[in-house]
Amino acid sequence: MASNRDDSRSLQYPRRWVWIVLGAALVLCWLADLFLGSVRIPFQDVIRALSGAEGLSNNWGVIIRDYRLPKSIAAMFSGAALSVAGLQMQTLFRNSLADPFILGISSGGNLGAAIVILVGAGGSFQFLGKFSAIGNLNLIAAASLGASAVFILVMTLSRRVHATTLLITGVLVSYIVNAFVRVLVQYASPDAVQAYLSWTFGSFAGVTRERLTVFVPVVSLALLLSALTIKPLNALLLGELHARSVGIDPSRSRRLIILVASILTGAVTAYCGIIGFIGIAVPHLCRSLFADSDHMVLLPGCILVGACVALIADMISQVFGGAFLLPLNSVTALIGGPVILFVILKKRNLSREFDA
Amino acid sequence: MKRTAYTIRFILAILFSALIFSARPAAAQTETTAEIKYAKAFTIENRDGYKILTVVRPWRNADREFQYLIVPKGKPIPDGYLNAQIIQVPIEKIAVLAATHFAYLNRLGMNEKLIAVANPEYIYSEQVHNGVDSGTIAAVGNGPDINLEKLLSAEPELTTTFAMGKSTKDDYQQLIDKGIPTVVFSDYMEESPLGRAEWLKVMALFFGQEEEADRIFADIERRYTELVELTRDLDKKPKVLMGFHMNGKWNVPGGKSVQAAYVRDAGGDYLWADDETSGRFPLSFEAVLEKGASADFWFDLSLSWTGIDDLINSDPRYASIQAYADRRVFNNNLQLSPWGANAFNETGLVNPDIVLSDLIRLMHPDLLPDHEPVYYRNLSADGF
Amino acid sequence: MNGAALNTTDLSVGYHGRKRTALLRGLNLNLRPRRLTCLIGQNGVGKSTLIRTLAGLQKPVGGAVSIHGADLELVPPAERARLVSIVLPGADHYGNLKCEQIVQLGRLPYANWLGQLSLHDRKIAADSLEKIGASAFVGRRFAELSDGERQKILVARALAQQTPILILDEPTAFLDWTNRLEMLILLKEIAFREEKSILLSSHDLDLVMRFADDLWVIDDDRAVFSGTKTEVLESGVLKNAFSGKYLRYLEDSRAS
Repeated sequence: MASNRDDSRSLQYPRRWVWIVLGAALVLCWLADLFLGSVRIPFQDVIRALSGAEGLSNNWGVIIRDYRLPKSIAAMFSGAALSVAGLQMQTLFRNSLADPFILGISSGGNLGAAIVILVGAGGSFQFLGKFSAIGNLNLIAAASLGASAVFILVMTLSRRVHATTLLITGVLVSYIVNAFVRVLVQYASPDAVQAYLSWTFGSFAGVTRERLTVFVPVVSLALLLSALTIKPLNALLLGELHARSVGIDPSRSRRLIILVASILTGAVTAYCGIIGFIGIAVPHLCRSLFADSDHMVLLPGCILVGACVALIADMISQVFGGAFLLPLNSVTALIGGPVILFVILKKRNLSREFDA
Repeated sequence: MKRTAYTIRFILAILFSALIFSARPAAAQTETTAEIKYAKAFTIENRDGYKILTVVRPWRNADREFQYLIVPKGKPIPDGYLNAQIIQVPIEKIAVLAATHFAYLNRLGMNEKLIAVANPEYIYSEQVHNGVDSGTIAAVGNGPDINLEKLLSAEPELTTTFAMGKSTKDDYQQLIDKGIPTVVFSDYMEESPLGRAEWLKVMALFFGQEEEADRIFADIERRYTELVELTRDLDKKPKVLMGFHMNGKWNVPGGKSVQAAYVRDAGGDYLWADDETSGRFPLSFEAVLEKGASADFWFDLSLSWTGIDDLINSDPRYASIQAYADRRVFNNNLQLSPWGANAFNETGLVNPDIVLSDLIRLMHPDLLPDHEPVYYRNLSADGF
Repeated sequence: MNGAALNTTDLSVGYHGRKRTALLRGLNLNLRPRRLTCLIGQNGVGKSTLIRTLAGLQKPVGGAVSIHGADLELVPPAERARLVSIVLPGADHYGNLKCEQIVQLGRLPYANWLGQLSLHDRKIAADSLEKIGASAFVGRRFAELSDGERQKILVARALAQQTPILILDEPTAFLDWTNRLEMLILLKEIAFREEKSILLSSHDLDLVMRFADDLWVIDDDRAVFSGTKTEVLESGVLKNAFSGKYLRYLEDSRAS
């Protein structure tokens, strides 16, 4: 028994430095995202801009304070939100390939937002303007509602179909939802269509400081709420009956998880468009990094790693294209795609492994 | 690298067209080529008893041409043009699948020949709008997703459409297969305002209005070149920014675009004048913020913006652009129809001299003191 | 009655599909403390359904299950988890937990809202592992264990839950003979020493006859008989169970 306790203590040590390294990596990624961009700005000028100095040439002050700073914060929160939502969905569905994007939850958010934008705002795509703070909240609410509607639909399907089939139903659901969005777009004005298309590519850059004042509190609240899902998620690791036997009410937990994951996905989708692959890749990165499935570790891990990955993706999309921009979704796919392939290859036979 | 590829393609195109020409039937002695001075995407050849319209650049990087034989009704159809479509003129019923095509039709005074349109909500003309409402003009869907049944039942003698070179999206082949002569317009490929306006001459072919078109175009050309003369020797040219960003991506008109040409001809210094792109290219918002910081004028923003608040509500960061501080932000949507169509994209297309006058009036008011802008609104105020 | 930890009144168990289907009806059973009770019957006769219903994981089709006199359906889940623990066959573990983490999952009913365990909880989990003779598995991944080893860990998990009632569905199914013996000896010991009521289901009559204090027999007509081992043997109910395979027990008992 004494040896037992020593063991558990020795397990804490490697963790501690992993946390320190992750924390440092996040700070580093954040600073890098502030310092790097398609415009080259000298180091001292970035510092001066951040310290609030006025009168920098070429709008550098504006670029740093009003463009890169909110963009980097949006990236951090989006990455964390999508990763946590992905983690929750993977455990809930007991499916390593589940994530907001693949299961069509993002498309649901997309639909919700599109309805508010296209129908609610008098038929013209006013996503880019004319939205007050309350309008912003409406947008988040609609996107979250759309996300949870698809979530509940997928959840219902998941009880009837095989785990692998679920991935296909997710694809189908997003087709249906996207078809509906396309119909809405047909009736929108030409600049609306243009705006809509650019929005579906996903980007952190559209988030201004004003929008952050809604986005950050909503995501923070949902992330805080997600702490409540740690216990049920851990209990669900041994299956629903076991979870029930240790006093977890599975349907209540499921509702909580759907609520939290839908808000996380909806908020990100409303502000940054559909961003793929982060939600699936980051939980897997965390599992390998911590060699653990304890959500007490994975959930904060996903927040940190997700934030880092999103910042890196943003940096790549801003910097490597030169003055041009690489589509954010292409970058996240380049990062996330290999992770998914690795998972599939490691598990070899999906249908057998995930047969729940 | 890009340029080499372009050069090779260009040489190939010349060789290819040389091949086509050599394979043609022996040229008649009456062969002349109609004078097309600015447009580069089409050619017109006058033959004995018929004309040949060739759309040489139907879309960007196109690897094919479209050839049309324009034959007066009752005249024999010449042999030997296997790949050409036959258009017997003058036609009485035309369907146009893009709003810009209607602009040419309208300028020639031929709009009573219009029997079907796609995307009527993009068309500014109230006459067309009413025609669609009353059912005299058929609305045939959203180009390029057109409603073929409606189009066929309208029985057009000719349809004009546009294509992107993507077989899954383009509709011209489908229309041709159904026996409707279909002209692929590529007016948007032109790099100069006059080149775009010159497509009038294409539309005129279908109605026997060639002389009228030549007359109208000569007028436009004369006025346009006189205006260019006005600004030629200015030594102070204001810096100009164009467009707006969406989610951090700013689609900047290229240095060889029509928009850039307007700014140059109006005596402005377009910030990306050195660029070689004829369409638009995406830049990150921060790159535009840096370069655009010193812009004196800012033109052509989102269609729906009619006041300075729209700009700032959309993104407060726009305020850091100098033109905003100077209140020199102008949008080309002074004439917006109640259904959201912009006259700039319609009548503006065939009145490049008026568009240019607007721009000169805005940037150099003393050159045209009496001109009242027709297409441009000052976003900082209602009117001027 | 008579200090039973768990008893049923007119209980019917079955499926809650579109139509309620009762597999077993009118059950009046008592699970007594300090005794090892074995539920026997052929495969497919409804043992697992009964077990899940007794553990409160499934609603009865009719009647009620009471623990210490309280209707189990009315007991809040968190409280129920401190009364009944269960070991289910073939647990599908999603993830990559270590053995001690699996056992610690048994302490979730005592954990705070975040699911954090105190040092005390960790000690109880470690003790459970030791009781089951599986301390050597600490640090190993649950997924890497053999079926038999996993079963032990799952029993340790249920023990860590520290409930007066412990219910096990086919706990010996994947074990070899020695391990089966060990498991039953252990359960019997625990029942006695820790004053637990232990119910286990099995279709292995040979084994059960050696260790059971009480027997619940589901015969081939889905009639349920309960009593002490002697009562069961004397009743002759086994004649109509297991398609008559175990008739020799009747002979043996008469001989002894």
